[in-house]
Amino acid sequence: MLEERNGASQTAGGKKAVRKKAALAAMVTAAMLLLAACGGNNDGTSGGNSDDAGGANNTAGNGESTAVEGSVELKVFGGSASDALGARADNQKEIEQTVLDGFIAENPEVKSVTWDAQGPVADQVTRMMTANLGGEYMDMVACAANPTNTTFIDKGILKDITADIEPFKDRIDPSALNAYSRDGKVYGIPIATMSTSTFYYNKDLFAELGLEVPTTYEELLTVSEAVKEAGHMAVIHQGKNAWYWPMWLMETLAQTSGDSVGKTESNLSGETKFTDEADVEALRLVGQFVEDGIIDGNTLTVDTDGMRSAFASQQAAMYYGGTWELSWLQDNVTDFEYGAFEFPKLPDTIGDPKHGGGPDYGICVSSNIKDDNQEYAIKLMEYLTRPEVADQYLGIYKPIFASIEGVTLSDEPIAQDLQGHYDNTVRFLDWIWPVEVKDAIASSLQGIAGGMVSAEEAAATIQAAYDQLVADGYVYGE
Amino acid sequence: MAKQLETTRGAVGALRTGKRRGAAARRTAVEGYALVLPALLLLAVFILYPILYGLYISFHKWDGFSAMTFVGWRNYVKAFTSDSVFHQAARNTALYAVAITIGKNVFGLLLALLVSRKIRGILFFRTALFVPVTLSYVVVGLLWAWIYNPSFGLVASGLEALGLENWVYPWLGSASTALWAVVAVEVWKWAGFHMVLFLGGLQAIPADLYEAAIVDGASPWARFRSITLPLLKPITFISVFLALNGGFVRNFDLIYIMTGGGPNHSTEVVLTHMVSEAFQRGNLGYSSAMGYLLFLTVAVLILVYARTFNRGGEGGR
Repeated sequence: MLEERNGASQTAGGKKAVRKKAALAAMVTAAMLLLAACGGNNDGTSGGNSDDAGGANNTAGNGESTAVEGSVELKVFGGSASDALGARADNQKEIEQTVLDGFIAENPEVKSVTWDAQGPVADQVTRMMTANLGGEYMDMVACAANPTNTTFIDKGILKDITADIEPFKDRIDPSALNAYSRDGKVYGIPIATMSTSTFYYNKDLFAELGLEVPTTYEELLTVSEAVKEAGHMAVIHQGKNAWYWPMWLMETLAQTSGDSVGKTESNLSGETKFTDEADVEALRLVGQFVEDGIIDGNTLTVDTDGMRSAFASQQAAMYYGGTWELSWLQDNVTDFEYGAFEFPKLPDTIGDPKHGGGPDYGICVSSNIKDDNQEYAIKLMEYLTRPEVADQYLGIYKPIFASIEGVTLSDEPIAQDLQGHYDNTVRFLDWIWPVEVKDAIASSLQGIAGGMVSAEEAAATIQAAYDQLVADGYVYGE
Repeated sequence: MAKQLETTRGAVGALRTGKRRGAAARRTAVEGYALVLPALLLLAVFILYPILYGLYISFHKWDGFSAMTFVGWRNYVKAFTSDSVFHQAARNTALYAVAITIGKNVFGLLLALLVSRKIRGILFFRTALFVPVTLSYVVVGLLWAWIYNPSFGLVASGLEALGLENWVYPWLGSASTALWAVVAVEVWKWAGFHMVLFLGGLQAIPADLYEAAIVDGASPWARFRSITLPLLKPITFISVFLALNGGFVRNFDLIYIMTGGGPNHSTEVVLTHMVSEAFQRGNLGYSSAMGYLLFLTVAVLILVYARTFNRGGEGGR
């Protein structure tokens, strides 16, 4: 009897346990359903509910706006703080406000323009991804040319604006506009300074040692030896940052192939290979700069700050960078005069020196923009490309080059040096390489510089990265 | 008859009491669930959902922009077959975890033995040794990257001052030393924490055991081997567990700051590779798959470690 009762009690206990578990599971499931219901739309269509932004505006059949005054709200999303108008200026907010107020004054239908550009440059794609996953609505995207080419166009988040910008596209430097174009379609307009790559050198030290600016590799080698004999490092390079090494390859490939952009596109189309002689030689030549002692042997431990400090403190006589370094130099190097010279001609190569470059930032139209807002997005683009307006947010830098024609440029001696380099500037190759290939190139170049891999092994690694991409369905240009 | 009636009344009473107790128990259970519901919701939202969603993503190809595509086991197969960087990262992760587990525990124990002595100013030394634990990884990483710098760093300057210029070496810039240089920093940062763990264990060992051993003529080494080590076993279990677990799943910050996984992937660990895949290459599905492989590896290792350690403990008893 007792056993029966115990048995019954155990059965009851078992049922109770089952009920408890069921209740627990139900609660967890309910919580998860609640969460799922609250979650964003991850089907890739993003952009949120287009009904929730903007206002009561309509477009008449003749294309003219009938929007109610003060009804349009434009939202510009920037991947990083560098995508803000006048980003490098101390009074950035003030500049931005002045420019946007001017636009609103001309367009009374526009109630406001929100320009949300925050965070570090390195996180720009992540920030865009997060906004996309969160269903954040945006009319326009302010973005650098690099992620535009490597990510945003591919992911379909930008609208083709080729026909829309026709009335004012002549105000934009054609090569800069080309950086925001793919297969004849324009996806954005550059509204920024333009970059080119260059060597910076300590003019005073060169004068003291009686050295001339080198134009060939041999001359650079001679100069480097003289500098080292005098107790300085020759060229300091931020080799710890793998992503910076491809800059050197852009230079060497330009000379070994004669057309670095064409060769890269041909490699990515599968017509030629990354293991071709010109590519391997370009990789080998980068390593030779380290082997010959032109680049300091400790380069793989040097980061951006280390490189700049070594130059500013006169421990290193030269460093390789670009026009983007100029503002730092102007602010921090005051003890000596510095100059710039072009990447030298390499021995036994068929091409002329060509340097990676292009516009720094631009603005695009989101593919999810509401029809009613598109007219004003294009109007904002038109407004930003007016020379007198561009001068407000670009002219303040006294840039060496600008993507908008008519902007006041710098007349400093170093700017004049660099303006001469711009004729030899070609598109940055990392705007063409898929990220996987770029990463393989970057780490392989580190390996070459550190004597860990040969140029042939590096080329094979890069080709393997490309082959893997193709196996995963990658087709260049699509 | 009366007895039967009494029995029936007793049974009915018991039944009523049982029902009342059942109702009370149910009420208590409902109240209990209601009380834990907020915690369960938080658990579901912040722990369970991300874990399960991560598993779901790992079976898809997804870049965070476009729609997900189901790819079955392909991400897992890729990790095992065609991703040589993942293979290197897995090797580096294992090496890193084992090295720092040994380093942190050996140094932690040695420091604990040193600072367990009752000498003047010992509190200062204990505090000083614990200070690195309180520093953030960013501070530690940047600090040591500069210390190691062969051109301007403290190590190079020290060696040059001693006339040992030839010993100056790009520790973080060489594939053969970079990982070990980071291991040394990780050990430096956390040795103080393990010291505190072991110090607690040492202070819990009764002094009369040592006194008895001294009377018996046991040497210091014999006392350490036969008294200290066995009695520190529970602390050692925790200390090794924390170090091993941290070695596998908390190695991102320092490596990212000091080397970024370079040069040429020589310090790449699974976590840095995962982040690159997810946020530079937009392979969120593959990154999740790597995360699950790491999770499974750590779970199995910890389980094996716990069982082995416990078995050893029983044998010891």
